[in-house]
Amino acid sequence: MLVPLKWLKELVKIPSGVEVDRLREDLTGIGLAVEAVESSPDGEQVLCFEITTNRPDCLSVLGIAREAAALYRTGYRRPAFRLAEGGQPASDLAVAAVTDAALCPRYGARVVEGIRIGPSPDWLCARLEAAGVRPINNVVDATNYVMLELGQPLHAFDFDTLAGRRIIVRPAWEEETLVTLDGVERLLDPSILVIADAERAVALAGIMGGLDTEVTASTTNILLEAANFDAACIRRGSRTLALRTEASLRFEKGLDPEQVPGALDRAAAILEEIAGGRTATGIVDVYPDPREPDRIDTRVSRVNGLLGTALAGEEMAQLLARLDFGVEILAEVDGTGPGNGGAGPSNGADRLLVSVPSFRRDVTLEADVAEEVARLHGYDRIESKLPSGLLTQGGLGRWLELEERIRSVLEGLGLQETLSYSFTAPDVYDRLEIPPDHPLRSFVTVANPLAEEQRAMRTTLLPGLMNVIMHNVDRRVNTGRIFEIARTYHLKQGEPPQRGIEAVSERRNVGVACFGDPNFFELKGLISNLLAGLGVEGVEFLPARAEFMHPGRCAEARTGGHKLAVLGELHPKVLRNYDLKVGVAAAEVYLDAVFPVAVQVRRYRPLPKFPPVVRDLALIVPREIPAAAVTSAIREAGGELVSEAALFDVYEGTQLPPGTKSLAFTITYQAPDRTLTEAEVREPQERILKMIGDRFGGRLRT
Amino acid sequence: MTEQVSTYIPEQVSEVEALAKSAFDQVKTPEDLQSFRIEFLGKKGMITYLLKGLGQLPPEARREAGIRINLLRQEVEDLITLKESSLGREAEARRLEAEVIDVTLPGKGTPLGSRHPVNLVILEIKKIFVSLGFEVWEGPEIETDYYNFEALNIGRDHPARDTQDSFYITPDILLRTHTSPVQIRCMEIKAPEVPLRMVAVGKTYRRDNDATHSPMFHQVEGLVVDRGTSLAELKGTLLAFARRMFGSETRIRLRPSHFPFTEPSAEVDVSCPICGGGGCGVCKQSGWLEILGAGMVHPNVLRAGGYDPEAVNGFAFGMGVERIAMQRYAIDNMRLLFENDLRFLGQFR
Ligand SMILES: [Zn+2]
Repeated sequence: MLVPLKWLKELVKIPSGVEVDRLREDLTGIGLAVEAVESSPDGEQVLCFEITTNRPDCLSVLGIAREAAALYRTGYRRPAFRLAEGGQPASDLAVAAVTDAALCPRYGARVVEGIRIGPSPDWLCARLEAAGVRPINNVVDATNYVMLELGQPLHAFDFDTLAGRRIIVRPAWEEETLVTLDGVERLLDPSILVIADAERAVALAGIMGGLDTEVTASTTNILLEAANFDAACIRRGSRTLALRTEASLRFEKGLDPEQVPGALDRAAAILEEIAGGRTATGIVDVYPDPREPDRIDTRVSRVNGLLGTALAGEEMAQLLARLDFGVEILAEVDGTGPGNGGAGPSNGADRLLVSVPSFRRDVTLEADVAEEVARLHGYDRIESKLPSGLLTQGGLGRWLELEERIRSVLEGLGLQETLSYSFTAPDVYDRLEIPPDHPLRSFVTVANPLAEEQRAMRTTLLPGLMNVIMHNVDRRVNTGRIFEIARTYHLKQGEPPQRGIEAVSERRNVGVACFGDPNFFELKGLISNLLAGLGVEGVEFLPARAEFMHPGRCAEARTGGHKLAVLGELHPKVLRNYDLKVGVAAAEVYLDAVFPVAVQVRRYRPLPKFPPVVRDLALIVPREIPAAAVTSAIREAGGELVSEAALFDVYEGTQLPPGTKSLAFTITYQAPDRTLTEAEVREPQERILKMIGDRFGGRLRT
Repeated sequence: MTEQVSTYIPEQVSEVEALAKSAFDQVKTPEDLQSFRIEFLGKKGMITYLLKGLGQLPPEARREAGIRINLLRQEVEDLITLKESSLGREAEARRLEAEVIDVTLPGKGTPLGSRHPVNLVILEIKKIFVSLGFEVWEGPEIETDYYNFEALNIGRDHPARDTQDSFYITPDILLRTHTSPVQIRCMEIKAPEVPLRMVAVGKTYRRDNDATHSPMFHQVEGLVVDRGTSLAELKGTLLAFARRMFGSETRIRLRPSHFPFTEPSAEVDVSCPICGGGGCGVCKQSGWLEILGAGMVHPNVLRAGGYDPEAVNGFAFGMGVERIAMQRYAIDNMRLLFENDLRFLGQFR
């Protein structure tokens, strides 16, 4: 909100010596954030405020003046004016009725006759422009001026266009329509409150007037409206119609019904002055249920406990009085008072009975009173101290520790961590060639995304990695190794989202990708190192299938029946769908499966005391036999004495019978309690050869 | 040489000694040294010959001659050893010289990877709060309206819903707009235990996308519930955090503000770590950086978490991680954080 400094100074005395920079800092210090000081078109200083939603009273020059007066203890004054009302009572000219006082607690109107529509005088135009409002004509300008000055939106109807000279405040009828001032025809429903005349809706209550009853060049008599509406009702209406105005922005935060007559008087006086109007006597005022001021029973000790201060009751009372709160200091009643949550000292008065001014409806609780005390006392005068309570242990927790470990391992392996959006385009599942009905297609849908490519919550980290690769290849970064630790989001299959939050599950994954000219084994090396780094034991890599992977170059990492990861080279058709010219090998590691088998604290295994016997063994087996199967056969047949069977060479070629390959192993035999003899090793070695023969039809390569 | 009774002739020894010395001076190579050894210490070497002659000396001369000749032998052996090692060193030096490499060629092995700057900042923040006795919690990113809004004192028609324009899944389920729902979930589990000290870290979502806003971003949020905790302790905690995070000279400034879930509420500024408060481009000349929102937990929120606001107080604070990362690494556009250009990420090794 923009407040010209000169206007502010008409309503409050700013102490001499307080220049604009200091004023800015001081107001910011009590919660009225001055974002900038600008210059109006005619060179006046203008304060730009960012007012929090709880302070609609400060969306006006008067509201700021009140706060400044409290701050500087100088007092503020309402604008001075003279109203020459007279003649027929307004209530004889117009009738107003409200169907639901909860939605419109107060409706006030004045009738001003004999208006000459024209431009406003220069001083008024300049002031509106300084406050960021475009002048239109003297009547509209007068209402805007009063809204800026006092915070009360007003509306002027061409009185002669109101059927029956009647105002009815009521919910709109089903399918009622109204063309608003901006020329848009709006379809209404009963959730929207309207101002109607005897026949039809003539304005959207608290939001915008109607075109038919607008003040025009030929208008001579006007009905000036100032009302108070239910904040939630205006807010809903404004949202439903997607129409926000200066008026609705104020009403939807809740305004003070007590300011209605003052605003009508002020506006009428201005119209008398600048538009030659004659104001009919009195106000049409529908205000069936004036609200008593709220009273808050406030414990001094409780306020001190919340703030960590040691203010006396009298000091608090003085601070509150400066903010127009009425304060009655009550003598100590029952010694300690109910639990104060802190050992605030209580000097003298133990309780304050605080009456809240009508423009401060945001203050309803003891904690609100504490904030008023604190901000005027000064947040900077509250001391800083570390928590005095019992020590607590603190900690990351096992999940976050696991994630940090993953980062260290992958960073050490030369991977770069990426961070991509959790949402993706629904069609990536097509690009990834994921078949219909595949579980990866059970994604959670964002109903109101910013863009179509952010509609689907991702079920796999692959789309994010692919976007990163695309982005980099576009910039000629043609090779890289990347990873991301993030969640994926899944709809439990067969459950409609209406089932509620239980139908949604979040999982944790690590996505890994190598791009450029990667091969399966580069990726496999990374994944095995990662799993080893997390202390996962007994990991096996088995051939697997995934629609988006090369059918012959895809594996699953498993341990004890749990699928830990899927890894492979991406299928060429996926690369074509992405129009990617580089190769990609990618893996997804399922942390929910890794978590239970990851080992945080390792156990030491004694080192062998006796020397091993090492034998190299080259075996010829059919080409299709996986090396892992041969390795486990060696271990199985070799028994306990085999401490390691390491594959060191694979050969296929002309020196072998067609359809076979040679696998060369280094087998380490070791006993914990003795040095093995030749004879002891011969026996398992023979068992191994027999098993290779029986199981695979293989033999020793000689 | 004929068998004869030798007599000890000291001149003979001196002659051999002189010969040895002059021959030794001619030794330049390992081969020279070998010939020298043979000439004097070999089976038929001169010193060997002298030693052999000892036996034929009369006992009285043998002793003196023995001492003298053995001394000579020792001397020659020492010379040989010395020469051997000096010749070896020279040879090695020549070899090493020939083995020179271009040390400016690149090193081998995989280059170090990197962590994302946002996660670097999160890790730093987590470590600080853990050391202050806070537990780190997480919660779901897809949340219910209840946890994201209602329980935090943000009713259906609360204006604060505007500033947190949300991504909805259904009218009642949304992507969380802040990490505050984790506070409620944590309190539900811990209440009525005190003290509770927790921070929640994670991804949050709002419908914003420009140079300073991203539809997905990260927050760290903290909560303390204890008997007798206060705004003063909130200030102390945030000051301790700010000094660890931004440097020991850091000051903080609290300004009254408004959040539905705290009362009293404050915006917390941190003195600019770049200029120390004097004003610079990073802090837009103000000397302060807006980093945190904070306040005393609203009684309704404590109640929603299962605590009795008459028995305990709470304070809470929250901060946006991207903002801190941008300030810390002098990044001027938030989009850089989510584009994942490897040339950008590689700067955080
Ligand atoms: Zn600075």
